[in-house]
Amino acid sequence: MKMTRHIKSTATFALLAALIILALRAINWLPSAIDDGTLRRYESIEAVHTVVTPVYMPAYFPTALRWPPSSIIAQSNPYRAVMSEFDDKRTGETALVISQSESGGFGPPENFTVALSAETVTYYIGPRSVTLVVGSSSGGRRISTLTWREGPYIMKLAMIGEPFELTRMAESMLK
Amino acid sequence: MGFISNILNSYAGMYAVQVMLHSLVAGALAASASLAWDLKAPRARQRLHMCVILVPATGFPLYQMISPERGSVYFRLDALLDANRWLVLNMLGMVPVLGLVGLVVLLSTLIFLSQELMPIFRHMIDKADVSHNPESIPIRPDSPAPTPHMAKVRLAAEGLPVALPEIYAIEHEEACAFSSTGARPAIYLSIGLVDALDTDALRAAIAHEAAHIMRSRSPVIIMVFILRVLMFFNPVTLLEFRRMVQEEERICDEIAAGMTGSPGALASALEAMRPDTGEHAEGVTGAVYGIEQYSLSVQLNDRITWLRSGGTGNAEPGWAIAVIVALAAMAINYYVV
Repeated sequence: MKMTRHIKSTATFALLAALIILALRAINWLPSAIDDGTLRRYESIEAVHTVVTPVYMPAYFPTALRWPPSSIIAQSNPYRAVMSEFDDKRTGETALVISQSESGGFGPPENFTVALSAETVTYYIGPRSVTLVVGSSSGGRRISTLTWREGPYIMKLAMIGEPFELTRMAESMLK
Repeated sequence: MGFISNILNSYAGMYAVQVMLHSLVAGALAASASLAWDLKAPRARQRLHMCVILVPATGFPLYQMISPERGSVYFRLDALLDANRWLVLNMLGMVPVLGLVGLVVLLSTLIFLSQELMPIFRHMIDKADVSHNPESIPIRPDSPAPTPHMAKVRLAAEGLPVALPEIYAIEHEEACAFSSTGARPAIYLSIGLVDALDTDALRAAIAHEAAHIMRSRSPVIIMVFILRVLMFFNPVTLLEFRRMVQEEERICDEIAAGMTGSPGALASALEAMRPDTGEHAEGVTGAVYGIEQYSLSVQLNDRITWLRSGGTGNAEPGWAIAVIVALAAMAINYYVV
């Protein structure tokens, strides 16, 4: 009898906890129903144009990478930002991240951030001063990143491996 | 907006926002547990209130240690709840949600300062005054009892199965009793109370205050109090701490009833100490005072009803339910950023 009551109470608690989780999901969804500019995923670059324009993409694109992006996230509130991920055709894993943001707080994930820099170079591509950083991520992967300012946006290109393709893409965006 | 975004994304900003959200979730889980297990025992209910204060206060630093990426864009996108999605909104295009949250934080802080911190300082000063007031005479077992009041208190204190601290009689007509804790704990009884109660009821009042002093040394309670002070901005902590204090009164009622064997005697003592909910000052201050006194009266009535019914029947379920709630809160709150 006591055991039955305990099981019933535990089941009731589990149900109430599940309802709390559902309520949290609903509360999290509401802002996107009120404001189109909240952070969300998009199916295509064209769809992003409804919240962020322009969206800068390279004219040159490595053949080893898959187009279109496998993941696109964007927002216009509290500031405009877009981040696109591109997969390697061979491995299927994310190999390139392009971010465009009005704030420095929005950028590639940690596994595409250089934690230990082997080389940092600042030079000009056309009229823009760009910073190239080559090093390792916190997971030990070889990462190359290129950063520059494009109007109100901070542009960041981050790629697994050496920077050759990265600089070609940046040049196609800046020249 | 960039400035506000930078504050919200700083460690302190994220801690402040998330601790409030985590408290809400923990509070909802604690209420669910109380409902599911039909908890009536004050100790079990107090443990749940402690969970709501302890778990959120320690959760965020722990989560960030385990997963520093928790503040990243990708984690937020897949979180159960991302607070930033609300904080950047303007309701009806005019009222910033962040502003409303700031208002709530400000109110919580003001309430904490005016109703908790200031009274503590005032109590410390009053206690010093009372100790040094020649009209407040300590009643010690080895010293003579020059007045009938002191003799009555000494008679009431005899026979209690605990070592009692110093007991002071205060020249005050209103029936009240309180205790002070710390290095030199003491019990204070007003002359009005001593006059109003018979020996049994007085013994019960002393036992209740002695229970407060015994329990004040609990490390968990001390830690919860420290966290409560540190989270002065959190309205959920404000409410939960007050509910914890209410349960503490009931726990001390249980202990006193056990010590004296007479829950009815304690009920009589509480009836004598019921606040006056009649006329009071006008204006906002008067209204606030009136509400407080009414609230106190309702709580006292609950306690008196329980004591008059025999003061028994609260089966103690132990720490298991509090642990379940804490674990559930830790698991769910990890995904609330």
